Amino acid sequence: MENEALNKGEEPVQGYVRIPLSILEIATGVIVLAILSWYVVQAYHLPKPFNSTDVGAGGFPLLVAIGTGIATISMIGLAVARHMGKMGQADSRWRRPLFVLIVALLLVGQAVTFETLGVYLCVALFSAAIMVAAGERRILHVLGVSIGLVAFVYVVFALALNVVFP
Amino acid sequence: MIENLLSGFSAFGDPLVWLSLVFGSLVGYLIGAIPGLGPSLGVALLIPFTYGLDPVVSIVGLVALYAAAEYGGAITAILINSPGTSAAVATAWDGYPLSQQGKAGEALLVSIVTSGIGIFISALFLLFTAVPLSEFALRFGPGEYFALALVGLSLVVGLAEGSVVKGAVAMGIGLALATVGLDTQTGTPRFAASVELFEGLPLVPVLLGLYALSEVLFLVEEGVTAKIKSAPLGGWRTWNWKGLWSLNGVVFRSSVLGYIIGIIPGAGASIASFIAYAVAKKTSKTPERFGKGSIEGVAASEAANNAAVSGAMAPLLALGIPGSPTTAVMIGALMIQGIQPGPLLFSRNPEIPYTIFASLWIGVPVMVFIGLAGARAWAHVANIPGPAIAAIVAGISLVGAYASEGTMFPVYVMTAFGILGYLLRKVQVPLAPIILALVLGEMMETNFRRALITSHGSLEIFYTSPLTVALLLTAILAFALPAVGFIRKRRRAAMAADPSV
Repeated sequence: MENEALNKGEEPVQGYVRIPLSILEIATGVIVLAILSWYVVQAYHLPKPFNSTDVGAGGFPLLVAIGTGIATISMIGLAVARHMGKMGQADSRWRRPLFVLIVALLLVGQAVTFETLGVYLCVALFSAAIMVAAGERRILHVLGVSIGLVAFVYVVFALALNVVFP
Repeated sequence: MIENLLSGFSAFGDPLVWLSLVFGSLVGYLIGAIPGLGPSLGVALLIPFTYGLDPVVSIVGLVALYAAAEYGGAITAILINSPGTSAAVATAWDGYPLSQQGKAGEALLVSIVTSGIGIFISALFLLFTAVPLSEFALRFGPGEYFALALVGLSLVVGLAEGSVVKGAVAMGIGLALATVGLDTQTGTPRFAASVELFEGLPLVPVLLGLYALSEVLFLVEEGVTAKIKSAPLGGWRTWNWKGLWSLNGVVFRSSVLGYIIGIIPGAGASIASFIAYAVAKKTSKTPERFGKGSIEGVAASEAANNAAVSGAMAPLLALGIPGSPTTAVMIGALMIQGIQPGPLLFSRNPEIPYTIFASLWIGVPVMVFIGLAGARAWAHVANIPGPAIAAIVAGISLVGAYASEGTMFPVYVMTAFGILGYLLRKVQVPLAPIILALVLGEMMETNFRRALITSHGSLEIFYTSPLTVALLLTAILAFALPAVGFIRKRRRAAMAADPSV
């Protein structure tokens, strides 16, 4: 992990991870190709068309898969060429990766616990947690935004729009 | 047309429509003034607030937000050299130097007024082009519609920032996602792992995930940033309307350019402002002042990027093809209300397009007033801490996704797409083609299959109609030209490195 000269925040920037973009492109391409393979198998096994003039339920998806496959292979090819130094190389910077991961987990957590906790408790808890994970350390700000957000959700969604929440 | 237009204006007899206009403008300014948040995210976040509202009330708020967000980016561009939206980058080139010269007030006044004029002029163009275009599109058959959708997608991919190949991958992902659910022709379930997916992926949670939730993770990357001091609003009182009149040529030219560029899917407000800026510099009597504080530069950029809003509405309303990511999000909002944009919109739901025309005009003085009255406040918006914005966006997205169907499934979809959107943006895969393909996918497939059935399974239908051929050639060119440009650039770079090549 490297340190970045970005110390303009009250909470110092925690540094960043630098990953060659070509590596990420290759990895993304391989994942897309794997999903496409599953997609093609599924499309191939869809019922055949009722008449000869139609392409059937699987026809269009197969065309999409071919086009996307060509584009993905091209992306991988270009990424390999870049990685081998035949073209300009670029990096992808992942700043505060630990905190991004924590917030991603918090987002999953708020979706999973939404029904159990109920909307107000869930919004209050997770908005506070997201703020803290995002670098906010002023307790009044954290409480103020959480309470304000809950009040906003109650007034707008529950009272004005009559949304029934768990 | 006149009768429908009058009925569009009469919608403003309802105080709720006014409320929606003012609320949309306020939120638009707020979103536009915060660097990093754009009109697409704003419209996506506003959709949950439109559930249960009258379609006319909803659409007025969304259009107001779109226009105000495009302008809002200029305020921070001028005062703190931090464009709130990409379309305001060209505004900062001259707006910020003007601020440094103590003329921030003058730059703000010109930018707000020329933005308003840009919208006003382009709305007029919209009225006179969208209606005939929709009437012309009524003659389209399935072949033409398939080709049209392909043109829309290819232009978005071809004109998108970054790699065309990645744009094509994104388009493929979007089209593949569009095929999830029951096959519209045979009712066969496709790629649907659960019953909830039989109706396809819910559009609003996908939009909220890709645009709003992914932005939350980017805000976490930023952390808490230091406050930026805004420039004083100098020149506010000394500026006169005579000065504005001297800009009439630049403003009119930029508005026309902005509208035309806005129509082209994928081009959008940013390209419009850059081109209008370049043209203004070329035709100016004082080109040397551009980049150092030229008021013409500010006027050109702002008139063009706001005119592009109306331009992007033209293919949306007349053809059902979104011209920008924001209008793609807007399609989602209309679909929730049971309204399908396209040529039939003008006969089935004329109140929608004509209220949009009316709201663009009526919205101009409202937008100018809000912009002028709150200029100082909008500049402070950029100082709202990132963590607070992240928490608010995450909270509203969560509640909005749940409220879209009243079940947990959309919440899970939104969360998954939020994380996916973040990862894709990290690999520099553009999100706009995914959204556009998701929106247009069903229309493309339906018309492709209808065309084949009409022609008894022959592909002849795609090369016998001149219009279809022209559209398909445009699509091919949109894909091919950036690739040719890339190869030529590489060859030039290789020659520069080694002249013997």
